[in-house]
Amino acid sequence: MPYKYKVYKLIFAFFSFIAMSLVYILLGFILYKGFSFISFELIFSDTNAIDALLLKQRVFDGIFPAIIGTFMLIILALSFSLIFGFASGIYLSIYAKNSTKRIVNLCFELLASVPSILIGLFFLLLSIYLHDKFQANFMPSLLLASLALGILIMPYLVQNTRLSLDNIPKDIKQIGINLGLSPTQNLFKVLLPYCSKELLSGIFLSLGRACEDTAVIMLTGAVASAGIAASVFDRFEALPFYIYYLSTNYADEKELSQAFAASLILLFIALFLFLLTKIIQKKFRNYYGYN
Amino acid sequence: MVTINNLSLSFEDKKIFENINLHIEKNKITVIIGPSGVGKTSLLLCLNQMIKHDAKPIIKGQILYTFKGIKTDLNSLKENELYELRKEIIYVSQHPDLLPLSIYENLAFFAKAHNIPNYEEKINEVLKKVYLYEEVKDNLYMDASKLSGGQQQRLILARAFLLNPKVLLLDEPTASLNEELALKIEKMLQNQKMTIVIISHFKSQVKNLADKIYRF
Repeated sequence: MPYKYKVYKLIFAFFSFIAMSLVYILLGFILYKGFSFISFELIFSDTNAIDALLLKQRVFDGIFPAIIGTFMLIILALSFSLIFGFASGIYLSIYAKNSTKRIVNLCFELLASVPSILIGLFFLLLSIYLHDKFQANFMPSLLLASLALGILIMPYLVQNTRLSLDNIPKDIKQIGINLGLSPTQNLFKVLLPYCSKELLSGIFLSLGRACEDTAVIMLTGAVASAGIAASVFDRFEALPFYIYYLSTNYADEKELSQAFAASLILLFIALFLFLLTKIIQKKFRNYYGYN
Repeated sequence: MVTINNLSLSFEDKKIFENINLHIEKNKITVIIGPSGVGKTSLLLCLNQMIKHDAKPIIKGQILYTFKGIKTDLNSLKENELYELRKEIIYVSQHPDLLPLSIYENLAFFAKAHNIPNYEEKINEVLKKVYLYEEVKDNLYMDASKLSGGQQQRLILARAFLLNPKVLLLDEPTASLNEELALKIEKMLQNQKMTIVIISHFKSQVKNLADKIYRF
């Protein structure tokens, strides 16, 4: 083996090892600090777990409402942004002319680079404006926060869909057309199933992004203690905000440890979403028969 | 069946070929021969209009073909008519273009998309036709990319037969096959009652197959 090859291999392996170690140190630290504090009490406080799960009793001091709030938030945010993200990505990759492609692409890239606090601020001001101008009942709420989060994750969905379609080999793109499929049939029967794995990965990454963002939701409806939102027009609790709130306002070591335990639960949610994505990816591939 | 009148093809400044005149007869085999790079494949791609896909060629002349019962110049067809045309005039590439599916699914996929009746039975039939059935009958659900180059080439030929085209365009269909198989495929093609246009570099194949030869 040439000497240079070994040197480069060593350098790249070193940096890769450092990067990997940092991630594991971070995860290990949260695990160490938070794992022993994960308990039924942390989640449900002194409320009966079954009653809480069946929504018969409200949980006051536990993070159960924040967990439910997080799920509601990301599901709503995804449902607002998914169709726009997919449709825009497909348009950019398949239908748009190069000049249009450049302009629309630039818009989504700019949107992706907007700090989330600005998106939160925009939606907060929008709700105030609508309230003042039209007496609209569009105050900070689960709906407003979901819309803002939807806007936040949309560029990721657009770019992921576009890149997934762009990266399909030319041969695969042409088989259907060459054998008499219309571009629409080719899109739905060949191209989208072919890149379903990448599309679902994009959804997972977007969900992860929506899951962890605090800046947007703290301005648009998340509060420390609201219970489970009865409707989308109510304020809500969410884990990232709970973690932020506890870690900046903790009264004692126990509360700080609770923040670490909540962080760990947030990580478990991300892991759950990751595994769910993998299962759905496999089902999709099996359904379409793609190898 | 197809009449080509003064057909010229170029891309911006690059001329591909000029003034081609050719009559492709029904249920006969027309063999196209010529040195590499003269535009043989491009000529086939003009016939099913794939030349226009993802490119803006300058095409002059006519390709007359009875499409939907009317004698039509294929160069004047609209985009939405081309899909129907490509169901009738099928091009089989010299490089096997398969979907990342199993052998069976690669055949069934397009049969389903084109609503071919009883395609399940026809799949075995076409695999037998291209002498592939015996080799794959126990592994029909194996990834098609695991087949050898020659087997893949026969699989795309089987796929074309399954779709039952009116005109079959074959671009060096036996290039990856051994001599024995190539001869079998040639014989099979001779026995088809189908309009076939073949690009070939093999003198013996030209001699065996050609009802008509077009030399570039």
